[in-house]
Amino acid sequence: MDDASASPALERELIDRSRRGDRAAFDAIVVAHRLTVYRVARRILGSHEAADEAAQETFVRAWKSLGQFRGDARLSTWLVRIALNVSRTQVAARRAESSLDEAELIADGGESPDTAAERAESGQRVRRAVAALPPRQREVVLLKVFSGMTYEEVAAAMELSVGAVKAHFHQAVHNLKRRMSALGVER
Amino acid sequence: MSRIDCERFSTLLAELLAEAPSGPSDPRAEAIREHARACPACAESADLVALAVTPAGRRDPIDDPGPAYWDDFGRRLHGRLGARFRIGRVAVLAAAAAAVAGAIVWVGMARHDQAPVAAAGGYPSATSAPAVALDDAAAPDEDASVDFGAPEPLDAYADDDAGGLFPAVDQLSKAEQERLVRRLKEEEARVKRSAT
Repeated sequence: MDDASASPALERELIDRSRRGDRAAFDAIVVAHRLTVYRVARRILGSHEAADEAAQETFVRAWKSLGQFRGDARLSTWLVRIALNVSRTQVAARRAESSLDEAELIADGGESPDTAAERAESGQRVRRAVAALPPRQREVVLLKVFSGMTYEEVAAAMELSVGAVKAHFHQAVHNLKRRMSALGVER
Repeated sequence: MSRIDCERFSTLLAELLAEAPSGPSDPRAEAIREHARACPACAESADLVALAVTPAGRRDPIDDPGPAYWDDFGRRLHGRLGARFRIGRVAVLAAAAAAVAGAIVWVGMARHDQAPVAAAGGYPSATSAPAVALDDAAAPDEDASVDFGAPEPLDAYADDDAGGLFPAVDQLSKAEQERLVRRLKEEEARVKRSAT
């Protein structure tokens, strides 16, 4: 994951207190996990503005549904799951309201102006290829390759089995290689 | 001449994409680089090889938007949750909230000499809070010095009266987190006792 989180004991304490309506405890949860949530949304949605909106919505939903959190996954995984669902909804809404190319949205995200030109170009090609993957394969790659989550964490966040996540991942790598070959022919 | 064939290249490429190299001298990274240089078919995956041999934290990093952004984020989230926070406002919950905030402020004050203070109303930046050891010498005595006052209604926290003093939980060490949990429980019991 991108950032550290609280120990299991403190996490349980904060969740229990938040469930009882304790705002300070929920504030502490937000502070501990906001960057992870923001980064997941940013990777899927591309822009800072969209990620900001998704992160806000994620914590609003988390507050409303804390009572349903069973504790069989880490809180961070549960929050990533919500962030994924919120981001998917945003992507679907965008598709419905415009013909914006999702690949373009994702390809524009997170590029640093200081990056060396060649590296930036290479990264750009990979991001375009990732953006063109089927949704599940794309999410697995974004969470596994770019967010550094384990197969188990990705499986819990996406509500899939570990085997299914591995299958999606390997199919995604196969598709990426094919896509990179096609891009190689184009350039 | 490459040490590995195309099939092995594909396996190692997928492995490194999934797990990232174990260090700068990971032999798998060198093997796929070498194979991609020697094999025209696999050379077309050069961009993927470049990604695969990059350490996990440097793969298309997304920067932390920074303290000013998080302050604003916190204010907006408080605004959206405000109405919900006020639901179910009863004395016991208020006392518990006061205890939590008090204990968190207590940790914050113990660090106050060294920690930057975020703007009121926002969340402190997780990246700006230094990791300060919260040892016994630095902590106030049990009953001491910090007067948490009477329990306040939940609305009292609408403007984040903790004043941004509380440290980011993810920046606390395990020992500090355990101390915080203990302190939370003590404070809650103390507030409940004084309320009755």
